[in-house]
Amino acid sequence: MSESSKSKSLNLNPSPTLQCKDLHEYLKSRSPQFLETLYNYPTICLAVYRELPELARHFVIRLLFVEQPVPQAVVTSWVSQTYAKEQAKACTTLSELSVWQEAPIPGGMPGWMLAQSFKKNLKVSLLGGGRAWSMSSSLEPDGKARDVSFLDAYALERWECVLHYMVGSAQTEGISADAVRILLHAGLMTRDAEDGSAVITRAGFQFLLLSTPKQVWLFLQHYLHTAERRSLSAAECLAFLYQLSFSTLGKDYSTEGMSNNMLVFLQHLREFGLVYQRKVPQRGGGRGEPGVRPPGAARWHHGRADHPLPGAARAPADAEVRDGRHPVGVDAAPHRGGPDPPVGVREEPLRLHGGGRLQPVPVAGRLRGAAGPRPRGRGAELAARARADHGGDPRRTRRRQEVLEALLQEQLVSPPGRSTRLLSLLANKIVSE
Amino acid sequence: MADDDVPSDSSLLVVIVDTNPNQRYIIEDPKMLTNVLDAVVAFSNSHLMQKASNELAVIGCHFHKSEYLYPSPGKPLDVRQIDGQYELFTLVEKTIKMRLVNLIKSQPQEEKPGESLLAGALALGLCFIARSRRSAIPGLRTSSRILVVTGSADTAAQYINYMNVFFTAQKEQVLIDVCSVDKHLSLLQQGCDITGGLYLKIPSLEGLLQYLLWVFLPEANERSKLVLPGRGRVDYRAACFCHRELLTIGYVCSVCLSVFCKFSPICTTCHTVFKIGGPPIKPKKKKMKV
Repeated sequence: MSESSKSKSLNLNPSPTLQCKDLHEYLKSRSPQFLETLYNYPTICLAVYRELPELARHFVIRLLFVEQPVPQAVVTSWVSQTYAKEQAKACTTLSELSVWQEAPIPGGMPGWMLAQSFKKNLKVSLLGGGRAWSMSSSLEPDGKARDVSFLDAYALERWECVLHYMVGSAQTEGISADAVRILLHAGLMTRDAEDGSAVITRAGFQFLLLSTPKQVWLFLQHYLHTAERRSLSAAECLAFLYQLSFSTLGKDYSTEGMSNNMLVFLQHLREFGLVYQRKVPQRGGGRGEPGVRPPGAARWHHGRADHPLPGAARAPADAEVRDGRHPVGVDAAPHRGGPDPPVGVREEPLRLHGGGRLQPVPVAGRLRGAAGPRPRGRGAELAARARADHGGDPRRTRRRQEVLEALLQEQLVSPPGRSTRLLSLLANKIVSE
Repeated sequence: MADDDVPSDSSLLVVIVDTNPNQRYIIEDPKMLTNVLDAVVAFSNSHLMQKASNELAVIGCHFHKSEYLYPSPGKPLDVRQIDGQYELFTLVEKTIKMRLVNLIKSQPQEEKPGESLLAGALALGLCFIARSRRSAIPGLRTSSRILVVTGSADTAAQYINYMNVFFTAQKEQVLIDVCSVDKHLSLLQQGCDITGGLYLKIPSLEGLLQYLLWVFLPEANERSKLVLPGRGRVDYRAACFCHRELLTIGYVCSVCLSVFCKFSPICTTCHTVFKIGGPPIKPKKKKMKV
């Protein structure tokens, strides 16, 4: 088991429960220099702003158009005395995220000043100016535009490929080596000692049972972790992800002017179903339907509406599930527009402008609700144990049946859906071994 | 109002912009309308920036009609990125500018500009709020407010309409904020007082955006946390229904409560006949006929 122990030692997620940080926690864990580069992207500034606590947002917008440092006493005087605690918390949050810094006023008093890059780029995203991140203005209308339902189906299908691979079902096309590497790195899969193929781990099982947006966000977090090693700038990738999330669902954007690294990243996103790109005939470095499109302007559609990025764009139709606190929240909450979670990952599918319709809640969400008081780990344990067995021992067959039952029992009430199919595939696989 | 301290999930802001060309600051310098409009657009986008679920409507109020500048009644424009601005904000800006041009072009040339139809615009805003509440998801906590940005003078001609609108807004728990760019508006100030909104007369037009962001951006439940301008003294004088003059002492119909400055034996609003013979000049003792 040397290989698996090696991958375990590389596993940056030592605890069996998967950690899913929200955007602010993620950013606070990065260095100020990283944040400085990150705040060069207007979309990131916008996303960070939206996640700020109430009072902090008002502080920032008041300081946005002020050029000199403002005395800290003045900022404190903006809030009425009864809310002093909230005010202090807002100030700490802003300092931790390097949104503002201490700056002395002539006269010696301590003052606050917004970080230059943050101020400049938040203004750009609000008022205009700066560079567009996508050269879409020169795109002609798309003759073969894909509608939202197509994009949804595409996104779902692509993401399921990844999940099917994890489960090891043979009926799917394989996924790229990069994606496998990420799964290994995240500890969701591990290399089997005997044949070197990747097999799912316990954490991987837990991962399968998460809701789709959470899965995608976790996956992306790990992707960004490994990005630096593959000489992809994590800041650039994160910025691109947020640009995606602030685009309009179903609309097409141009890939002109994107760096090679970003094009690679785009291909990965295509693989995971987050964007849709039509097949590109290689003609002079761009795409084109023959003769119709300008060369060098590849199109991609923002596909995956289940966008989990916190602080992202308008979501007229989502229901929220808070991190583990309301496991049945998905069913109980109305299907549209839940409260903006101050912390915790936004779990439900986001519908951007084009949508606005109700999306059936991902079955994984229901799964969680239906599981009830049964500890989730048990199924995974049984499955792991069953997998360890090989051969046609009748005892083992019985054990495998146990596993199958345990897994099927996890979904007491659910319509036939994605996860049902997945789990029945898994169960079949175990039984057939 | 009722749920003042409960944070809302989504906030709807209706901005009413007075575009009447006979406002003093426009007569003095027509270009100032562009500045005012830029400030209003930036403020509207800041409102949308607060939360992803916030909503916006902008109404342009002219002397011949009021119209929705945003959202556009027909199909939304197809905007593409030209710079780093968030696409939604670009859409808001372009839609407002385009529809304002149409509104101004549609003004009848031969008429002399009259008063701005602010009461009507307020009513339009209330209708929009009511409609969006009807189509909202049950369980979603929304807070709504209307902001009026105007440079017109106070007018009692629309007194009754204003009062109707104010009391409706109070009932619907909609705040009415007023930002007066030029003159003191006692009638609109009454409206702010009735509904719990804020009234501000700004000293200089250059700082309009900053005033809007500081004073009018916080929602109802956030206002208690921030230190904001106080109420001040409100002029609660009523205007008589016959001449629209503000008065402190007058005659009130006991049936419909309309206010008059002079006595008349029949109420012009509800047509009640008053059986009292004339105004009491001297109390006379009437001899009872046996």
